[in-house]
Amino acid sequence: MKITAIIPYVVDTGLPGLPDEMTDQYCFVRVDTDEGISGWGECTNWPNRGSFMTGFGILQIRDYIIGQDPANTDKIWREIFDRWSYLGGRGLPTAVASAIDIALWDIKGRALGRPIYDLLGGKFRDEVRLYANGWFTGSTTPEEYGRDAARTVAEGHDAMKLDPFLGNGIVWNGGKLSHAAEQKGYDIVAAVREAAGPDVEILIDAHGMYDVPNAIRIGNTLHEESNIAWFEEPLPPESYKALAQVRAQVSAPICVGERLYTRWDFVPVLEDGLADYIMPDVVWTGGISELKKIATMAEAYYVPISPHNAMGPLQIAAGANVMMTVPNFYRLEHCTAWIPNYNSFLKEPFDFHDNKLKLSGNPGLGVDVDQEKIDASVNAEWKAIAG
Amino acid sequence: MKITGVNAYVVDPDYVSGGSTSARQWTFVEIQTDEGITGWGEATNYPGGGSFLTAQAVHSCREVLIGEDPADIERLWHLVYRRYSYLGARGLPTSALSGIDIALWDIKGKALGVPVYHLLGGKFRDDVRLYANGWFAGCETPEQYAQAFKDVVVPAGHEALKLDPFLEMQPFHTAYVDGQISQAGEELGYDIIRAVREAAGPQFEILIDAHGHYNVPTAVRLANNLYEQSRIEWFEEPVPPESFEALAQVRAQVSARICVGERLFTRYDFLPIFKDGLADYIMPDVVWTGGISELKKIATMAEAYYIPVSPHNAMGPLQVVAGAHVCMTIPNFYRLEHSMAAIPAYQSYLTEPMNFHDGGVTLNGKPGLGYEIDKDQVMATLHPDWVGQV
Repeated sequence: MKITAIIPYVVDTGLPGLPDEMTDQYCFVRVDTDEGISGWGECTNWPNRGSFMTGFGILQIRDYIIGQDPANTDKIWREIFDRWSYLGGRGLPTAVASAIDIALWDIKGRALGRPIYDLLGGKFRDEVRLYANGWFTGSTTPEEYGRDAARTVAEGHDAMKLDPFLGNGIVWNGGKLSHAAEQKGYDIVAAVREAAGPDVEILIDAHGMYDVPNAIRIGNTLHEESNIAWFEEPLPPESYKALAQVRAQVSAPICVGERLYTRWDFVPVLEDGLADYIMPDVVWTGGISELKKIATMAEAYYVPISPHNAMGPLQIAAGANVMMTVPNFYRLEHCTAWIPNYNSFLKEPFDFHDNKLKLSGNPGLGVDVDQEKIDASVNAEWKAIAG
Repeated sequence: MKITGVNAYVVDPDYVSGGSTSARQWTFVEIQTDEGITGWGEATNYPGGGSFLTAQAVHSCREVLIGEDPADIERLWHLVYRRYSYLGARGLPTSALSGIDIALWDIKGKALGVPVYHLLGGKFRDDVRLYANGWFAGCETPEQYAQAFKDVVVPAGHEALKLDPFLEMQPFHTAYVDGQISQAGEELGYDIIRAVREAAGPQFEILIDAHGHYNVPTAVRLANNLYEQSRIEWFEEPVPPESFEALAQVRAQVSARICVGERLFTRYDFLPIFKDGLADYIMPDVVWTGGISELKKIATMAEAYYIPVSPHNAMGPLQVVAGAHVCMTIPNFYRLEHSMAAIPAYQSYLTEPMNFHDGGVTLNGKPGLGYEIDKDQVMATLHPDWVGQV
């Protein structure tokens, strides 16, 4: 089998209510072969036009990949990684590698007539446990958050994530926040805890917005007041030393990893014990191949894995396929408010029920992308650039 | 003053580098202001279309840069750096950021009527010492390398040079597989270095670039043999850049000095190098690591560890100029790289040639970077794939 075409689609998501600095495009990638089998991948990146940048990356790399045998996923991954070592090797290069890798796994599964998880070591479980994000869309007060939390629990969820300090969006503000914003955040989480009850796992996403002393105070206060289950990305991702300082002084469990790319970025986290949970992103860190490898490394440290999912539907499908197969699995993220949007790009909707996702068991990713919907949603600027 | 325009230009320079198997393009960045001052920077990256991607990233920053005061370099640096945190905040984003930062420094120097080095703490020296790269075009045998040394390096007055003598590994420059080399390829490399050492005499500083081609045991063996046989001055990038642990293993077992850093981006990537003592020299790249601002900051950090800085220069002319400005101002300076083969191409994009002499370069002392980009040459050599993007 030979790869004959690689087509990036930067499409408007149609998602409502994204913050201003988000530029709401998905980047999907279709890989065609000479045997009529096509596979789909995703390298959505935001904020700030990231999906255009990954789309440009696909356009630059595809001529090197076309003509190769799609079965050789590891070799093709390594070629992309090394070709762009001088572009940093991690970040944009691995996002592009992710999309192609996911599509190649989709092709392999379809060619063999098996779901991808069957080819990754096979099932450890029949369904993938989830945690909820995006369940609070539109809420601003503790009361509103409490109301939404109660509804989310009633829908069957037992773990939910939020960033209660995100009034100004994910814009770096020198690592600090106002007293008023800090107090409001504590009040929101307290209201969520009260509404959700003592057994629900409340995960706090700090979006890397703090410096060392602020991260320590906020992490400890939330843990003491509301018994949070993790404190995620306390600091910007580039300083492991800062993370080590926070780690040593915060009582809440720590989770990092959406902005760590490939096994190499996770080595210091695992070796120095910097996190209780890791959350690689399957469309950023290097696709199905690399997510599986990171999970395998983490298993040797007894660190559970909980993939980051704040992009599109193929991110969910790819992450879920890997999580079917790894023993050291915590939960898969998903955004409850976006489920209709995920499904709008698929011919058959995902089977989300209670706090779980059940994959279809169909070959490849197990979902069929709706080509007509994609074609109708291509971003106008992208159409002008890429034809 | 306000920024009114941000433009990236991808050009096809007329030169063939020694050894590189990749087509290369240079990316220049132009920032225009409402007071008529224009600054230029460079965001060249290679291979795999890297210069196109950095140019696209520069254009994607227009929406946050236009209308801003170009004097606020620190604030704008952070704006762009944080903007792309989810694309890795290193590599591609810091290359685009470098081009922008260099152009902003050019504007500031021109607005104040002083060279950039004047604004970075002032001069430590009058000339910038160089080491020679790109002096061996077409060489394949030890004898040819020795002859090129006599014909090319000696007349330019150099006392330090760099090369990668393991020619068999060139196709794997951006295609690492298992990190091993054949016995014949290894022997040829040793023979080349012996020939260069014999031609150059015992004092000449011979720097070896391993281009991150090797696994741990291979890197250890190559570096130790070259050091024992030929007293090399440094062994550069022994292993791929993403594993500090691999570097630490090599470091502990190699007697040659170690240099790393062209693929380390921003201070954050250099922290483990300093803290764990993984290198004797560091070589950040001014058009990749975050521009003049970040190169100066990395050098300042390195000074606290008594580690000398030797910026990587294998791209275009403004990389040499921008790096030289920072090197004018820092005490912990070793040498600035340049490619001898690229000098005519460097000069073809400048309205006034750089003054290379006696193994060094002397900046002209004019405001800003001191050298103007020849816009006619840029437009005349615009890469076909970039026509229509300007």
